Amino acid sequence: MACSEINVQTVDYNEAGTEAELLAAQVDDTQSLDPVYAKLDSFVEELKAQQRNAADLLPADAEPGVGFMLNQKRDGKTLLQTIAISGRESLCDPEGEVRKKLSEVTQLGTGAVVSSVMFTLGLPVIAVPIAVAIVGMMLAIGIKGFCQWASAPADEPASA
Amino acid sequence: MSLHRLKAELGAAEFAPHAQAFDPALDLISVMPPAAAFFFASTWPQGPTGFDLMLAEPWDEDTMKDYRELGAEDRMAVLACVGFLNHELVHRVDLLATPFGVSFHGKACLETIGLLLEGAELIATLERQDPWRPLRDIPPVAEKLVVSDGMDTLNARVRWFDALRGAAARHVQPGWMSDPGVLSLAGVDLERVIVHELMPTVLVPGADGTYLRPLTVLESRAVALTGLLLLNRLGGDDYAAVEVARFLETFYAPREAFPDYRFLLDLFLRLWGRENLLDLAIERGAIGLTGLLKAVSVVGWYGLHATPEANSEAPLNASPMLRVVIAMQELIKYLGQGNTLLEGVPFLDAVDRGDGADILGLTDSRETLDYSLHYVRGVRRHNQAANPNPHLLAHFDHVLALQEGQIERRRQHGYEFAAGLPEDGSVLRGLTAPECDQDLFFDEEPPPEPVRRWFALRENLLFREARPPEFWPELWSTIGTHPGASGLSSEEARALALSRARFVGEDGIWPTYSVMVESEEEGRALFVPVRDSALRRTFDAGEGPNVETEWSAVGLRGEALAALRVGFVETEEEVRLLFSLERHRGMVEALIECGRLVLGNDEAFAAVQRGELHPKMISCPVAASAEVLETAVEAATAKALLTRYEHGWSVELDEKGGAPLDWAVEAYGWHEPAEAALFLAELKGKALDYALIVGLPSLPEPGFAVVLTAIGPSASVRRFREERIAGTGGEVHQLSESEARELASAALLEANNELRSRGLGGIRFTDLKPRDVRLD
Repeated sequence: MACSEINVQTVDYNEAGTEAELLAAQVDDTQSLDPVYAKLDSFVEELKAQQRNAADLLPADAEPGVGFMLNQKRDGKTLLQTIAISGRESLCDPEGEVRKKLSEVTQLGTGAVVSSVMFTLGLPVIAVPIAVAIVGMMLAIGIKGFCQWASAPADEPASA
Repeated sequence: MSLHRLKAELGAAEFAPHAQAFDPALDLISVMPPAAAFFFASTWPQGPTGFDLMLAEPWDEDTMKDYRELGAEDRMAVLACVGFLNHELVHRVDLLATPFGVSFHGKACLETIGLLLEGAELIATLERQDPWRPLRDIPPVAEKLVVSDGMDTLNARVRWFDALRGAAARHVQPGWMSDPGVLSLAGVDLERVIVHELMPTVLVPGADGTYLRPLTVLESRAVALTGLLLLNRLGGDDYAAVEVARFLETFYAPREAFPDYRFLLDLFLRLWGRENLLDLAIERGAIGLTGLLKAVSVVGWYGLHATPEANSEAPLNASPMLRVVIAMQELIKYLGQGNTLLEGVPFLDAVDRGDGADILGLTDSRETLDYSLHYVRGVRRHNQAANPNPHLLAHFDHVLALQEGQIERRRQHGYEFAAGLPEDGSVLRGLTAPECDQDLFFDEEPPPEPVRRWFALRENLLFREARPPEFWPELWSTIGTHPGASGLSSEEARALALSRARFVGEDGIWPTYSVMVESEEEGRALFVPVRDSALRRTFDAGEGPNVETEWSAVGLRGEALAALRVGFVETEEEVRLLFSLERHRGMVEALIECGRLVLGNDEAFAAVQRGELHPKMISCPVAASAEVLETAVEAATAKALLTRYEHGWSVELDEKGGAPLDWAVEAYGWHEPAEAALFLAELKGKALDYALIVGLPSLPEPGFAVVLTAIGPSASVRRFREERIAGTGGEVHQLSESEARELASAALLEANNELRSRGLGGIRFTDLKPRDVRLD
């Protein structure tokens, strides 16, 4: 990899924050997670076009197992459920960065929350849509609602 | 609670194949539908034990009556909860008592040792240059098909495991070597593909890029054997067959969501001419379903007897997938001959003798088991001798010992193994000698947390792109752990890991920043890039260029050893300069000729003087003291000069390497350690503003033990003086052009005198331009 080939990607967190707010409004309007799934669906499709696996962008909290009935379907919904399982502990940490930024969202802006989710999960730049989806969901149902949902990720959170 | 909730719970339940551990948090009873939970409570008032659930004895009439009275969803929930444990135990047996299992754990062990002993520098480079990049995506160094040592082998193992777990589409190429096209099996055209250029297999139709992989074999066998167990539980009649078929269609649907579980089942369904399991069960009853489930488990068992390693005469012998294909082809032939009864072991022995096995050079079961025993023993010995992490050493020793015992017992019996091919689907049939077999099914203790954490870290390092803040510290704390080194901080562990690294990198990964240093003695690469903290700043940056280097050369047992210490580097461009391997001779290239390039510190240099230091131990980014450098330089000078002569070396500098330091370059370019001056000129050619030459007055040599360059504003010069020179006894001169010429002339004179006094001739300048400097 020659130096000249290094492609430093950057994130416009203001734009990402605006996207998250828009997504939150859609979740509010529809009272469902469908807009979140749709956003992640299109992200998964984008990655497929690049011949990449969406799950590889997320941190693993344990070695992946073999199991009784592990769903291999790769779409927005399963991706969100995977995030809930692997990222719940760090995202919902009472002392964590995400909660802190969320509590100051009016001063700092939503972009700061997206940034803190990126940092907390250690996501690469390409995974901004994942952080946007998480923050959109948090804005819509609150961090408490998100964490409750994430502890047993069903199709819909109780408060959506 | 509902069946939906139970499915969600089961869908998240996993058996960890490396750690060999079940999901500790699973509590199925609490999420069962109430009626199903009541059935459990009435059938097993004390709560079911593992044995209760895993035996295939038919339920008595009363129990069956209770079962039949349940609603459809409740019955399915009962079957799932009864079958769950057997399913997971099939995985455990398959991974502990088969040649594939030996390969899996053996490779994992060797991969782990490779990462712990040889991977530190590679990982450090990854961390500083492309921290989100999974190790899997680093291309192999060499385009060799067979590798046996060092980083190539580590890389091959990483790709093998990625192929196992399900590599992304970009790692899956069409065709088998030079043989493209499709493989027709049971009337289905399957697209041939090769994964990571290592694993030939076929795509699963309609499954979004999923390919037939060992996981497919493992899951198919677990589903099939558990189906058999449930069939027997329910009495083995046609009612039972329909129930089990409904259970399978309930939990493994839609089929595109469960390709690993369904692929072989569906292929066999095609053989039986049916579209789904329920149709088969309704139309052909228990006999039909039993035949199908047995066929899947038998063919899968054949696949799991692939040898742990291929040999050059039969490279496909190690492919579980190709063995599955061969066994399926033989089965199709067998059924086509009008046979309806499948006896597992005789059938598989016949496959070994068949044309397909002969063409591919597949070995029979006994030979495979013999080799597996040899392999597992070898890996176990290596683990005991080489694994530096006590937790991982103990884990692998436990697993490999267990495998050794099982394979040894099995070698006389070939494919016959009650836990592998149980007639009624219950793997507990294999528990014939509890004193020997108990460990095959259950561990008394779960694996310790450090073992589980290692396999999570490994997954992230090798295959994932996410890097949470705790990732690198935890990784280094694990890699840098060895007996007697507990309680280290992650930074200390990191330094320890780097200092222990046997192979620290090879060319081809980041050629811009790296350099292959050939050692005549070992013929291997030993390379150290700019240290991590420096490179971190490189990309954080911004204040303008600033490079400081110190370097020297030391003699070590007759071998020239060049040591480089980089103070700090702040821009990418500077890194490129430092490690440039362009056509003109740079410092690094000059150092290559010396033999090795390593980082050194005071302690390291002192150890060199005492003759106690192995080169690989030198890797500490601490400033070398003047006193130590002095001795080290002196020791190396004669050898370095001889090296120059032997190579007929001459100086060719870039045209841009002009005044004010050409003189110094010419002079010091001849006199060891004056390659630093070459470097200086090279930097100058890239438009440096200032150059510093630091002389250490106590040195007897006419040159300078340490040449430090600073590029850019004089602030860096001041900083250097304040931070690095103070207290060392060194002097700092910021030279004008005329001062540099004067100094260089004097140094040239002294260098010539020195050379002549050693009978090595002298330097003759025919021109003052550096390109004309040559040896007499």
